[in-house]
Amino acid sequence: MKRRSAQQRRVVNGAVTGVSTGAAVLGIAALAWILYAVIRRGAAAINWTFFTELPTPPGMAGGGLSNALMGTLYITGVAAALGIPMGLLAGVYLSEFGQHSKLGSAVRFMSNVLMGVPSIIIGLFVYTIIVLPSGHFSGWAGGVSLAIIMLPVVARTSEDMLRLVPDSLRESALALGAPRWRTTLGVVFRAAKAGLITGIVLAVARVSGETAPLLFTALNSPYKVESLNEPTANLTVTIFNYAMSPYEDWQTLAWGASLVIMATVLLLTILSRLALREKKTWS
Amino acid sequence: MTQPSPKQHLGDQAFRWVTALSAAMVLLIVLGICVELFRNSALSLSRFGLDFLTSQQWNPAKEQYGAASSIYGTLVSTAIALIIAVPLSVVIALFLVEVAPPRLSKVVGQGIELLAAIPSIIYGMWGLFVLAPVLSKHVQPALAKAFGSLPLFQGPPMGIGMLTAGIIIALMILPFITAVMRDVFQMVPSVVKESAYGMGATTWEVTRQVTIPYGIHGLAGAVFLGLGRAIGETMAVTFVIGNKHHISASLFAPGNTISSSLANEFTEAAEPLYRSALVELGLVLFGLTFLLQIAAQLWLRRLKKKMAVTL
Amino acid sequence: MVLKDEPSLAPEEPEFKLRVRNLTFHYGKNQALHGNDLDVRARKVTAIIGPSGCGKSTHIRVYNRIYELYRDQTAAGEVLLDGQNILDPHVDVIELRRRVGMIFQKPTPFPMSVFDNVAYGLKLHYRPTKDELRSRVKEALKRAALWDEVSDKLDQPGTALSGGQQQRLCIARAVACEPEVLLMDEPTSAIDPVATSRIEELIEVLKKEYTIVIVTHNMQQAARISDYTAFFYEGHIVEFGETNKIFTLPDKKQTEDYITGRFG
Repeated sequence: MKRRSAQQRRVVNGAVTGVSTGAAVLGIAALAWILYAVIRRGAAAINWTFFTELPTPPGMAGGGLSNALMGTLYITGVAAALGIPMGLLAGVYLSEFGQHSKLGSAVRFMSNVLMGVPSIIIGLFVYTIIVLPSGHFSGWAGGVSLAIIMLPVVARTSEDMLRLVPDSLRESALALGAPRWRTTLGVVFRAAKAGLITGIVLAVARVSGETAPLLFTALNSPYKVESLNEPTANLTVTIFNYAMSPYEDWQTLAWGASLVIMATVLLLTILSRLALREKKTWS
Repeated sequence: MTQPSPKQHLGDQAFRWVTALSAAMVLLIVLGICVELFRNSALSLSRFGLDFLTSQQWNPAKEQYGAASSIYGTLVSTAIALIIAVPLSVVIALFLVEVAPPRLSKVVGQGIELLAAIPSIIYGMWGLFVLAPVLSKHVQPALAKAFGSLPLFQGPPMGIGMLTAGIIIALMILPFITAVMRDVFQMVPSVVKESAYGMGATTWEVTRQVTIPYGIHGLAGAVFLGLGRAIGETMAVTFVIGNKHHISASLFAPGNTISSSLANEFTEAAEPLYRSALVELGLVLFGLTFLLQIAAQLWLRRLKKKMAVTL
Repeated sequence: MVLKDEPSLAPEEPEFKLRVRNLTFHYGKNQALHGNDLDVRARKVTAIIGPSGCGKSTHIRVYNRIYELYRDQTAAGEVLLDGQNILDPHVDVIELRRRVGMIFQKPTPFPMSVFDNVAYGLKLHYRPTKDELRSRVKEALKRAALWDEVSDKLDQPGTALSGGQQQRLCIARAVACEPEVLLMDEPTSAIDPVATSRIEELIEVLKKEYTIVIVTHNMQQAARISDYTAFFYEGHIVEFGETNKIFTLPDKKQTEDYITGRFG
């Protein structure tokens, strides 16, 4: 039989190694490029005015995005207030009662479906159930759409974190005569606290950067945020509107807002992932 | 031994109900989305019927709407994204598992994962203001020079369009596909890999002939995941695809996807039929992602069975 | 190659296939092997016994440099295969691994058909014609005492075979490329007793062609099938000699204690 050249095989192997290294470099380079571009262009827009002033008409100096900053905080707050408790309770059900139940399997499947639904469709849905009947856009509707996005994410991560708590802990609490609800809310939650919190922080960070679901719910507004019952200023839709506009100073503001959003989301994500990693190895 | 008091029993029952209801909200919401999408597209559904899916027409003035160009754009931009992202993910996963020393692999892996955390709108900003000019000035003219005879690369190199959208989406789904593929590569038992190495195979030979076939189901699942994410991408695509309801053979041409049309046009659409047509687009997209999810779950079930057998 | 009835060495063939001199091994900073010296005789079965964690597997994994897959594992010293030190960085590891095959504790059929499994090494190192391939695969399966059982199942996946059959498949795969040495790392610990005895019978036959080094925690197995035995303890070779002697009249008390089961 003819021998194959080991040298040739080594060369091919080396080439593939080179290609794979190159691909990894490409991925990191893309990340670096994006970070660099946003930081450089965004930094130009960040100053005291950015955080304290309301937007001005294009061309007029001294404009800022204080209203959008507050609006994003409020809307995300509403989303968190709705999505966290519901998601936690759903996660409790899945972990404590629904491990083998039909409802449990159905909810798990549908959670995956819901997580796969494009966020703009969720915005569309909330438009039909809140904006249309009420006759106007509102920050509340925006909060609700973000809460819907949060729900399955918080539910699944909570379920995972709660499942990590060993059954022996539950059993010893129950053996002492504690009712189920007290066992769960007290002992189990406390044991899973770190993981639950980081899962929630990750989910909140994620929705704070969402744009599409706010496009037809909270819309946007150039005014100060007085009530959530009307179109509410927010950073992400502002970025969309300003970036698409032909005005350079608005585009600069859009970059500033991009930097704020990106920095916040990335920092929260990195911190959560670090904490989660520690938690998983610890238990 | 004391029996739980009736009060405790009631508390537990209530607790179970409250949590079950919260969980059931997920089901309610998905059902609600289905119902509302149908309800609000009823006008368009009855007016256009099945022709909606095949007509390229999109003329608000004439009240003619067709989803063909949006569906085309969604599928083509997704296809481009997968063609770019899947091979890249395979070799990056190879790098992370077989080539890089453990500490470097961890750092690079985390860096790639960070790409997943960047919000879609940031990708849009970067795509429009940073990537598009580079594509327009350097990449597209080069492609036109080399492959200009193909209709794929004809037309003015504007920097935005189907190709740009595909590239941006590829970058966005890359970390997801890579993470799953990396896990699949790591799950191949080291004795199996050692058996192949022990026979005198090189790293690439082991990967191609043993690792990849061993984990092929998981790898396909990774592609499914990327596919699902790509189809739903909205903001990044909206920035760079050009928003034109027209099917063109060229990758340089502007187009639209279902989600980009919704993002661009919904708030401007005043007439009920226009609105209804847009909602119907949303219904199509929802249907697509729902079917994809079902396919993915069935695949996962098959994968679990296969793993159980080999264990 | 023709199997002879009388296992005798060809005139030029040296008595020792592998000679190990002062072999040390580290997992990171931890030293696992301390100055091992060992002489493995050609076409004989050398067994390596000892309690768990004593370095048995670590030792033989140096013979085909499979430890190099893991960055923090290092070996130093001399391992002479036919007089050539295989630890020398200039040695062609690919060729080394063709000459020194390895069978693992768990059967590891590749995700391909029975035929392709056995053909794997052949296609890796050679460019066989279809006929050459078929005859080599058949021959290898016969040598592994598996041909009769799988001749009609060659297209089925390797994983469809029973545990004992899978292990023999791995042996067929290893011998297809005409290696000179077979390393076996506890090859029967994961399969049932009936299949185990079949493989032990197989080893008796295989040793006429190949030099076999087998790691086993099963002392009876070592006593049954090996010609020479090395007793390892905490990374040291405590005693090495003819199996009969080791198991009836060992020199060292430690060996005797282990053999008689005084520690496990």
